[in-house]
Amino acid sequence: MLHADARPAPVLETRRALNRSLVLHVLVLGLVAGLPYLHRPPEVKEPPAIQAVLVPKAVVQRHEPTPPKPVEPTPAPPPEPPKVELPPPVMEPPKIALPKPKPEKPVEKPVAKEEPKITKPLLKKPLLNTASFDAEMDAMRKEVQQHERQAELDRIKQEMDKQATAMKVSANQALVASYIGKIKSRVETKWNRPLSARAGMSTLLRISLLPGGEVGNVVVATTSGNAAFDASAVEAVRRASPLPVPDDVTAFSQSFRNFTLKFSPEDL
Amino acid sequence: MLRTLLLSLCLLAGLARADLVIEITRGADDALPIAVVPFGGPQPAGSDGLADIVRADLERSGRFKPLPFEKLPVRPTSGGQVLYNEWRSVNVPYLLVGSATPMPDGRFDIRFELFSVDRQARILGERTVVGAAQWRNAAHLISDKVFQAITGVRGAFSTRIVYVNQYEQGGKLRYRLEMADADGQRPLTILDSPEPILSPSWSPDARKVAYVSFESGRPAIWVQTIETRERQKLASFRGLNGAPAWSPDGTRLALTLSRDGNPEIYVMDVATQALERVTNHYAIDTEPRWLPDGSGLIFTSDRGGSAQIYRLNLADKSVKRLTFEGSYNGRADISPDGRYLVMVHREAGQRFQIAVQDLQTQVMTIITQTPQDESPSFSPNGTQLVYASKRGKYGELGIASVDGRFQVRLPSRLGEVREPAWSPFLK
Repeated sequence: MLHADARPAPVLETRRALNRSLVLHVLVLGLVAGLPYLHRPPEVKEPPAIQAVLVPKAVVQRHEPTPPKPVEPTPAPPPEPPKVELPPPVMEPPKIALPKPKPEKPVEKPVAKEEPKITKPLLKKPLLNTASFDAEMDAMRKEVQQHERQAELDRIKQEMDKQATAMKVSANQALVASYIGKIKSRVETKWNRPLSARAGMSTLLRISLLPGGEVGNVVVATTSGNAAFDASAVEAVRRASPLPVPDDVTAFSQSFRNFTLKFSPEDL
Repeated sequence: MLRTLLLSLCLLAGLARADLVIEITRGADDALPIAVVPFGGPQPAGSDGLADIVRADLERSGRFKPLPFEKLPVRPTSGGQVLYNEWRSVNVPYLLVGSATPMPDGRFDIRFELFSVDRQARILGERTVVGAAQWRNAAHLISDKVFQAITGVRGAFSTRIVYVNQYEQGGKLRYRLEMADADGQRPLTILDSPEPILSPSWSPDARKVAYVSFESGRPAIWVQTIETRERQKLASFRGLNGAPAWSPDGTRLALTLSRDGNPEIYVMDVATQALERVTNHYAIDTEPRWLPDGSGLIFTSDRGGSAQIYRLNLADKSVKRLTFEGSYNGRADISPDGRYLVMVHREAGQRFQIAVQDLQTQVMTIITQTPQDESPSFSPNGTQLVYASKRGKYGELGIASVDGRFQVRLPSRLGEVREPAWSPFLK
């Protein structure tokens, strides 16, 4: 009874959580993908000779518009496969070969995470070739930056783990919610509301289900005060047996072994 | 994000541990299948079987869909022979069985039992003893009990309908006031007259009928006790004397008189015949009906330019218009719970139809499609309406559920059938 008002909440909450996780995913992916892009000044030296690569026309057409931006942060993760192929042909200079793999599997988060590390060194090296002092300084700076980067990565990883858990939780919730909807509509098709039923009446039934959804015990926990109304509710549940329930035993036991049905017409 | 996560976890934990509550707010609300098994034992010569009468009653209510006899898997006549699974397999949620045993004094001992197949429970188990002449009464009584047990609403199968039948005899028109069972059977003539009879109205105890008769050449309002046929002339003023309607407590009669000029509504104290004029308008005010609590009347008036239904508060005489749809709304009746208004309704250029207006939502629903329907009247349990319509040389009464989803016609009578009025519950 206490949860009578909570019913709509899980559904809403699930949707909201899903939305939020989607947004976060896009953000994180965008961040990961965008990092290398921010650090890609090396592109300055492009060997013009190599640009005349022989490629089937179709492929060329596809690549040409995109070269400067191998990774698009905006689109959602799934549709990325085509984009992944884009960078390789254009960015043929040897040095850049390393960073390229990162966009390859945007679906796999761990892979994407490691890449930024590799991008870093590239950035520095080409610029240095003088004193060893400079080299040392650079090494230190590099280390510090690497630490920072690592911390940043850890943070991202944590966030993603959290997301994964949240996804799992909301997946469970979604499962429960979907069966709540199925049970609701099945019972509603079986409920023949008596002529005396009026909006505002309400009967609470305690239901016990057997695994598989067969209705076991049905007890009138709170009467509407109208015997025909109470009886119609019990009959609806009996008629609706077996009720749709999750195959997963844990999900079934947690939510559907015992629950309450509240019969309260809204439209009479 | 963290908050969302925690919230989700809490909710999930809550769902798992405490009570999952699923709310059921809608229903299918179709007519309910029911098996009415032919009763065991003999029946009086020339009578229908009890099960036939009960089946027809339940079907006519629009709430039940009795299984055809030939589809019955078995035919038990007492509870001891009932096996729920046999009925579950044919998807019948309710089962009525019974038997009639002749007694030495010529009467019948009738027993009946009603079962809920889904709950595997006996809902009713009763007996009644009747003479052959009350055979149909016994069947209607069983229908009433079944209807109430399942729907929670008192059955109205044991009630009556009065109506006016205009017929031809020796080339001349005649009029008779008739009373029949709610299924149209056993019609009985209350009054036969060479002059028109109009507007019959039941007293709340269902023992008297008030009506307008032109037998003296002018309209007059009469009250007649049904059983004794004793009659009394209550009003024969100059001009129009029409549309009597009994107050819910039976002490007063609302009526339309034009003795002061144009038709107005008056309330008469039946004992003293004292009159009080309750409307005062140069337009026509007529066809009063009492609100169920007796605090006021509904009536038809053309004070707004076209005939519409209004409500009058008797305490302060204030008037409120109730209908706004259509070019004509008249001859209204109000349901016993005061929620629904039924009336003869016409859209501009269309025919007259019966319409129901929900006074809570103000939604108006047209529920008949036959031409020239008239004079709707609520059943005493408020679930159905009777109205008159015409089919060629025959007049007939139609019965419709208040939502219009179910309609049947009662047996036709030669000539016109007009002005039906459904009785209150019989005491």
